[in-house]
Amino acid sequence: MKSKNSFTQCLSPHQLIELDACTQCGECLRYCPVQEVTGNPSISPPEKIRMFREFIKATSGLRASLFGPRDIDRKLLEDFVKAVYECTACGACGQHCTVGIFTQRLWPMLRREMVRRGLGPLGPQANLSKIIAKTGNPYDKPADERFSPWFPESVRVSEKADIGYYAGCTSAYEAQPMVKGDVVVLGAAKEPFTMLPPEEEVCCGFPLFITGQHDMLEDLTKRLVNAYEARGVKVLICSCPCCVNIMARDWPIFYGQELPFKIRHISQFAADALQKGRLTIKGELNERLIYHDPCYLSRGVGIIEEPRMILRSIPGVHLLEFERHGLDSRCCGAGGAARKVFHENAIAIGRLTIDEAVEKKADRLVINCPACYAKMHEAMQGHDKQIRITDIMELLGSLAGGGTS
Amino acid sequence: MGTRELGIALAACMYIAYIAFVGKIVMRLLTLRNTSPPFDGGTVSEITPMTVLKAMGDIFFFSRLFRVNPRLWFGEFFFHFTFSLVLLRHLKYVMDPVPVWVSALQTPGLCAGYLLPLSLLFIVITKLGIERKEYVSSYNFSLLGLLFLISATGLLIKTVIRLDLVSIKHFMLSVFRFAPGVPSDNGVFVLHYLMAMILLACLPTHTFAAPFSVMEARKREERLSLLMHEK
Repeated sequence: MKSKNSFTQCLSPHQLIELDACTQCGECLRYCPVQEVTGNPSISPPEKIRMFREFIKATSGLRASLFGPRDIDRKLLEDFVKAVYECTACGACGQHCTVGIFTQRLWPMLRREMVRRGLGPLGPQANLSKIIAKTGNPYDKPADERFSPWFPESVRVSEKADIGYYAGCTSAYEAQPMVKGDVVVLGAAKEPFTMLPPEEEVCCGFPLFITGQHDMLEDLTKRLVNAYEARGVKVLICSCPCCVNIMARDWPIFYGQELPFKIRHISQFAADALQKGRLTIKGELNERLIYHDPCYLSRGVGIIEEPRMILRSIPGVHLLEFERHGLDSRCCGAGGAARKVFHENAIAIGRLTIDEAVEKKADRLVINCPACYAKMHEAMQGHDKQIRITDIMELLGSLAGGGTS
Repeated sequence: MGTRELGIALAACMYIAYIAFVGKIVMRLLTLRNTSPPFDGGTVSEITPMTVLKAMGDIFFFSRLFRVNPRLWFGEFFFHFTFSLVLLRHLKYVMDPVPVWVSALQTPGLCAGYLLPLSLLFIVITKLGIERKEYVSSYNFSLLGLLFLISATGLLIKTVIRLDLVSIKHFMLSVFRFAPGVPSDNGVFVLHYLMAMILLACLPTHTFAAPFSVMEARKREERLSLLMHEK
């Protein structure tokens, strides 16, 4: 018999073991972007785990089993809710965790428990479900503005094709040069691809998932998967790391079975097209580029080499690396849906990346995520250090042409 | 020599400590009933013997800690290694007859006993003195203090007080046979014994959970490249 009062309802057995596994060593604090800008250990990963353990103990411990659950200190609960939602869920703590806790997955599940208790999400995050139900996207924007402002007239979309392209809400509404670059590259490779009509291309579910609101996820997933399947899609391509992450990791769970198509990131498609000669680069770019790995692309789904391969294939490019790159990359500040609630943190975190790019004398900061793209541009406003920011497909799209093979 | 009453009291402490220790594990297992099905999205792949081997390396050599903080790794590995040797050495007090391998571990165990407090000091100095950690777990430092006192009293018993170890063994065996005998009433021995029982009762849960977590992390890392790439 499951206890409804238990704090472990939303956790898997493995995650419960992970909570116990934390040694409170505090090594992860060095990699936490929120710690970097707030310096507040009370909202650190081990502290969140310690607090959550207290909740479990109070409701499911030996004393609770014998004498009934204890009331949880309201202040402690409020502190926890703030800490777990202030987190950018970038997973850097887990990447450097000495006992390997998968925090990129654990934090959203702890948030889910807070939602179940009516304590989360926070601020504008709380309206996400209603907005997505109404407009199909988390930005409360009309569907007819999803593609029309940026979709190039020269690119053709097929009714049915093996390749499907999902633009994603953040990309389509907040990082339009990025999605424009995606379809330009797809078009240049002369690979037929299909897209859903704007009113059918609804949210992938990631903003709801990451804030712990799971109610609509099954419906959204099934609508999208069925629609792409009906168009004969065998490979679904997307450029947003968050969308790609939930598609590859969680859609099969919400869909209830293996997806009828593969999920691939646009940089995988482009790197493959370049290698096979379906895409060529015209001209050169004599610049020092520095590439920022999005957390949900590198740590999330292991896409690290393909973007670098693309950038290295541009003649004249000198590719620089951040101190923390690949699996160790630092969050841009936009992660975890925290950017709308903890705006100042997000800006300060974003500026850390900008500052390092400038210090390394990069000519251009190359981004590969719409949330990073939007947040980095925002972080540059009023900042004393400035650098040109470009999305990788925006850059490739401006240099690419069709191949001969 | 002490009294039979002292023996009963010390034995009771051990039984309570074991009940607390086992009870904690049982409660954790019972809590698993209140969890949800695994929500660990990602491609499920076969676990190869190589993955298991690497995970064992991660568990026994703390390789994840080494990657993050080699200096602290040195202290932690040193501590866990010496502590394990000291624990194994102590098996001679509860095993009759003493197996050959336990006898063989007596000298290395004794050397480890001298080094154990040094490893604890090294950890504390690293965390507080050299790295000046902003996040310090009071629970962890209490445990470190307790371990230091246990190891220090153990060394005192071995080198200064020189208790009759045969009578201690008789007492320990009597406790394990649920017929407590008469223990030494030496204060340092009683303190050493009681602190060891406190440690047993308060043993941190990560002692058991961390190996599972480390094993899963290794499996997850090996699976990562398969999520979006062909085999």
